Amino acid sequence: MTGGPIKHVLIVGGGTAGWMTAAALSHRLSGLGVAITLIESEEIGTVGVGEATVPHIRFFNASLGIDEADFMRRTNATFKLGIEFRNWGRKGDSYIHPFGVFGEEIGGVAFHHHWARMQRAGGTDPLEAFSLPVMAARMNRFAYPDPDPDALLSTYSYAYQFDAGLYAAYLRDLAETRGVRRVEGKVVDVAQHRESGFVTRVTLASGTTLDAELFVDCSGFGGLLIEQTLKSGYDDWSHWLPCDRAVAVPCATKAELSPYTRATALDAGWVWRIPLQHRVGNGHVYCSSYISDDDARAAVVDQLESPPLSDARFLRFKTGKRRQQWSKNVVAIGLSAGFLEPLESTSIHLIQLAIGRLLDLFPDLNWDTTAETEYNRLMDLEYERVRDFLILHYHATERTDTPFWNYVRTMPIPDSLAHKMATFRERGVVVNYRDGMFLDASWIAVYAGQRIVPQRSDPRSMAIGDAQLFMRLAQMKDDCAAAAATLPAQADFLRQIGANAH
Amino acid sequence: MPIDRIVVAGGGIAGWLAASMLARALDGGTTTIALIEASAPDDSLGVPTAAETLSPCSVERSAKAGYDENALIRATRGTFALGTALSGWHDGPPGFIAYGDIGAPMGPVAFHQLAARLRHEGATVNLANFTLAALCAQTGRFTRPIAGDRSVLSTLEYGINVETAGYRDFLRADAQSRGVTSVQGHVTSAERNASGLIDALLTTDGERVAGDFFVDALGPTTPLSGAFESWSDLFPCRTSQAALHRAAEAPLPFTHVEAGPLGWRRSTPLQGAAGELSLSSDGDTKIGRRTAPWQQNSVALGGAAAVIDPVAGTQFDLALSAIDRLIGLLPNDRACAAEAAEYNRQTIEELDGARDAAIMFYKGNGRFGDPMWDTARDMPVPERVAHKIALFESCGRTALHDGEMLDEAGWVGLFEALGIRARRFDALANGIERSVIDAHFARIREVMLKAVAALPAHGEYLRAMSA
Repeated sequence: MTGGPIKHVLIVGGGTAGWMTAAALSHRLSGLGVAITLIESEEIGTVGVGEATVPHIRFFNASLGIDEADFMRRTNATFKLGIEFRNWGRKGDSYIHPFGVFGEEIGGVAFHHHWARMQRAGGTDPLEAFSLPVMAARMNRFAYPDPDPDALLSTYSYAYQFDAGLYAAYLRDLAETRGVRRVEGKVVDVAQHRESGFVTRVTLASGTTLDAELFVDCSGFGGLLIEQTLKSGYDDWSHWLPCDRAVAVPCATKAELSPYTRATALDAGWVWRIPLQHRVGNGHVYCSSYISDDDARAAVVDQLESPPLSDARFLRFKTGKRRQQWSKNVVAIGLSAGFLEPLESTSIHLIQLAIGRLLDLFPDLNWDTTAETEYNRLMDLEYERVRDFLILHYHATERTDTPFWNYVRTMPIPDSLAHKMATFRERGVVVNYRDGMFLDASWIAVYAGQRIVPQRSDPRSMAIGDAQLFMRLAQMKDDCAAAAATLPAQADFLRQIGANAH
Repeated sequence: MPIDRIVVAGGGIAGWLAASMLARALDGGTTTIALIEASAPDDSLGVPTAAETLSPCSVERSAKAGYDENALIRATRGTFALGTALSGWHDGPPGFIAYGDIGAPMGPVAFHQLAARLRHEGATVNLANFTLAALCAQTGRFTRPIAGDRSVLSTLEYGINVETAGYRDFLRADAQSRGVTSVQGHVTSAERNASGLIDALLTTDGERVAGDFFVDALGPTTPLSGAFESWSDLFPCRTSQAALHRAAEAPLPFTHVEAGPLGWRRSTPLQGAAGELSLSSDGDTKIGRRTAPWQQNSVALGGAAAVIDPVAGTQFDLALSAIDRLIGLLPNDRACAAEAAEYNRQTIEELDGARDAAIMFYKGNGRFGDPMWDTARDMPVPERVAHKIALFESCGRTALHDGEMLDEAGWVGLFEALGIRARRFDALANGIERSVIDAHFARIREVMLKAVAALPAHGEYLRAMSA
């Protein structure tokens, strides 16, 4: 194989990953004469676990020229300010991990140090009382952040909760308009180059053959090309994240439209609640060693706010990451690249990152391996850092009520996470990196929400006296509550911007 | 046990910087700071110099700590720095590593990738011609960007060149005005308690300086040593010479580093003077870093923590960044293993990144026929440097690691100045009409040239400041 640009890209698999890839590639590679084909099969269902997103999705949509109100209408989307975690640190606990910061720094020292000092002195205000987006979320209110960076109402970001199936369909329209060819069918054979092992062709059940130079494997858990053909291998992380099944069931929206996702810890896992405009997505992520499928289904169905809209759907998975997400001329994107449970709504974000990096490092027919090495290095870091963040939610618990919680509370954790937790617990410092999607505020939210309060102060924070500090904090808290109360109800805001589906 | 007293060992620029920064950070508290100094050549940053450069990042750190920039410039014969001119590193024309962004991207496509496409199509493109700091440097003009300004000038990033000794005196005066006390003496050893914590430092004069937390700014020959990772194989130049020369002409707003058959020399312009530094092959300067700069209740800073070939001019930046980090992690108890672990993680990443950048000047040289340079070009380098070079040569991308001081623009500027080019460019650059790219380039150049033409000469600007 010698030189020249890639002219044929074949995306194997539709779903969220496949259509996000198709939409982005067709947009960004337009004008380069690259033919993009996507194969999907109606026979193979798609896994729509990632209905809740993180704010980065807005950049993805914006880069495709997507109109927000139109997109929200067509995907029944709601705004999302964060995730509420119930029963994680202890049964009865509740905190929200918001897309925003807590308080403001005092004397050059980050807010959470001052908050921790107040806690140690017997203060009772939870950290979230100093977060505008949490206050707004608790009141089911939403409006766009204020563009004035000095305003309290600018201290947050937002994402969406949407129907992933409708989002894929929306992107399919976009991609097909931009020239992506969709082929219906199921791959039955994969041909490889005799010497290099590069994938050269796939054959469909109909007998149709499709050749390409670059293959994007969006075929889901099984990894049709990356694993079944190229034997990339899988790093199994289920000893740290032992949940291995999920059961999903939607119900009608009953309550006021809430601008946040909820993750409630149960005996052997947790249930998600994702409020969309027309329905609520629910699901139970659980560990099959500790609970049966029937009990798991009952656990989610029992707590629904309205009768189920369809039968429960079961999924199986193994948490971990493909050893090489890019191997030869195959790049795995989505579940074929790895699986991390949707506790922090990272699935779609990881797809988005993968697409961005593939475009950044877009290969040519020389196939020198440096791009592949760099891609894998960067994606490994992202997956590992999300993994650590997820493990934190399980490990930082005081729950002793079930064998499942006893296991995750006492299990050995990665050194990288042990270091992060020790640094925060002892001195209130958040360990952070250049790459890694969760910033300081996210880590602080989960640490504090799960009862890890820094034991020692930043020496610089002692310049302000107790009485004065308490006054400042009380003022910040009042300001947050007051500002949040000025926002409209989310349902009203959706109508106001023309994003309501009904 | 709480930290009531911090002792800084070493009165060079690194020691006084630490003392002054700590005094500012702990203003209003009850912690006292003492410094032990001895009269000796100042090797506290690693390699002794007559002049140092504060990168834009250091200028920002300095301002954030509350130092008055104009006072600093007055006290140090200071000049403004827009980057570094490189000559003699290869056969081609001299290169310029500028501070700040190179050109402007078109959507998702970086400027240097667009330039690579034009070159591929036969055009001659010099990235420096599209870099504001480089254009100012070429014409010897300078002004500080004005807050709130929306013109292209607001994107100008500048550093400051300082006379090392003057800067040390400036920092000493600042520290002393904030209550830092000093004692004279050569530190010989540490008195440790049963668990290995330092209780006091002992000097040749028989002084015993007790404290709760210690900053070791004693330079490469510190007696408070720990395990050391040697990088001597990677750096052939281990003899250095520093001097301050008088200079009558108006100072240029950039430093100049010139490679010769046996090493390199840097000239750093100051007001009425120039700091010269030359490094040559052989010698016995120890290059490398401590495996754990912070151990127990003692942190090694500057040359005590690491000595890296100063070709990239980042000795001072590394020390300031380390002190900033120390302040962010300052413990309030002598038992501070968590703080130490995080400090070491970040510091090691930053130092290794600085090492990687310095290696590039050797590994990436194009001086064929000079034995020292030929050997350096062929030497094995750490895996991450090899990957960085391979990736850039392949597609013009930069593999960035945690904690590196250089950002993507910095690396691209370095590769470009060393004459290293990518074999192919970003595929997306082909999706844009050639005429649209040409117009984009022309507009950037026009806007920049117009802005630069209106600026005063650097020397005039400095004169006006001191008037």
